[in-house]
Amino acid sequence: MDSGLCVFVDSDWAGDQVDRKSILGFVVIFKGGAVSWRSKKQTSVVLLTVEAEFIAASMAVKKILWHQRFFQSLGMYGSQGTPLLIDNQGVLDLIKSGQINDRTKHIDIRFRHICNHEKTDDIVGEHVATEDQMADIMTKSLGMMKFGGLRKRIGVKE
Amino acid sequence: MWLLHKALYGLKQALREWYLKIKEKLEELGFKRSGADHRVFTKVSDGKIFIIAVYVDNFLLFSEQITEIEDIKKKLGKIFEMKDLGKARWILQMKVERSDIRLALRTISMSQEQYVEEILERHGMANCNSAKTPMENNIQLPILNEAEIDITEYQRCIGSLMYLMICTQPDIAYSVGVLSRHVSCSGKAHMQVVKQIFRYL
Repeated sequence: MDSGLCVFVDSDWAGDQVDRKSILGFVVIFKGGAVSWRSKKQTSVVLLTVEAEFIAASMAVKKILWHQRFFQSLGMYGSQGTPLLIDNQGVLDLIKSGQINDRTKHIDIRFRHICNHEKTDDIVGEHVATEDQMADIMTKSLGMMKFGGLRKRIGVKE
Repeated sequence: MWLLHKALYGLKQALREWYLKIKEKLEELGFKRSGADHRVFTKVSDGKIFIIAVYVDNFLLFSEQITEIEDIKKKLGKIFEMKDLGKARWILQMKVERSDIRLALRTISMSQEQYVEEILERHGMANCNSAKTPMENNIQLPILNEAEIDITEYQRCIGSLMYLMICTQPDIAYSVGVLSRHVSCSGKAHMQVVKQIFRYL
């Protein structure tokens, strides 16, 4: 994972205690260091954790597509798919299958572009264990130990 | 009324004219503009890539060979009046540091130590105790209808922190995000968290 490009995506479902909107975060890692990051409160209230993560993934994919083009223009990246690392199996299934069921059919179509990019191999959805989820640092305030660990892993020195 | 034939410094159109000029000259030298970012120009020769990053009138040159850099510098020097600052050490208030060249895994790191010290000084936090994290766990910030404190000062703090967050410090992104929701109606509790971030820096 230290070589090449990948993106970690996470969200804190209903993280805002007042309006119950979710916080999304992602970190783009290139050659072992964070090159782009985002922490943002989502604009709509969502019903499922899957939905919150899906919206987060959508934003991350938009960003990653740009990074692919950028690094390609610098001759530093080929045409391989970029790993999209998520700690939620449900979202991965949704991205891979692209199938709508009763529980997910209300998710807006604008987030469905991810499924398309998965199909054309621009991105590759991959599962990551929650403790290895580097985007965690973007979605909630963490304890000292965890914060220090993640900070080091995204390439920030003290 | 006068008709201008050339762009003047400070005019609205001047920036664009300047950009077009750079673009034209770099393209004459064989550079290609990156489709993803128009501030970046590249040129491939002998399978090696040469990169120029442009920020208004600052140029950053990247190449695997120092001789090539010297060559391009000479060519650019003929077109523009230039000052060569040597190895990049500062860019947009970020310090660029290279690791020891004897190391097997060589790295380049960027930091804003001086900027951090400046903003701490500006907000009277220069001699504060340090904190381990930018924000306490499970903090609840009240939503106010009216500001309790001087919001200009609060907004200034957020502005400084945001620049830091965008450039070199992803670790404070979440906390800055939380605080910036309260820029129009901030209270003592919010300022307290701002101070915690300053202490963390």
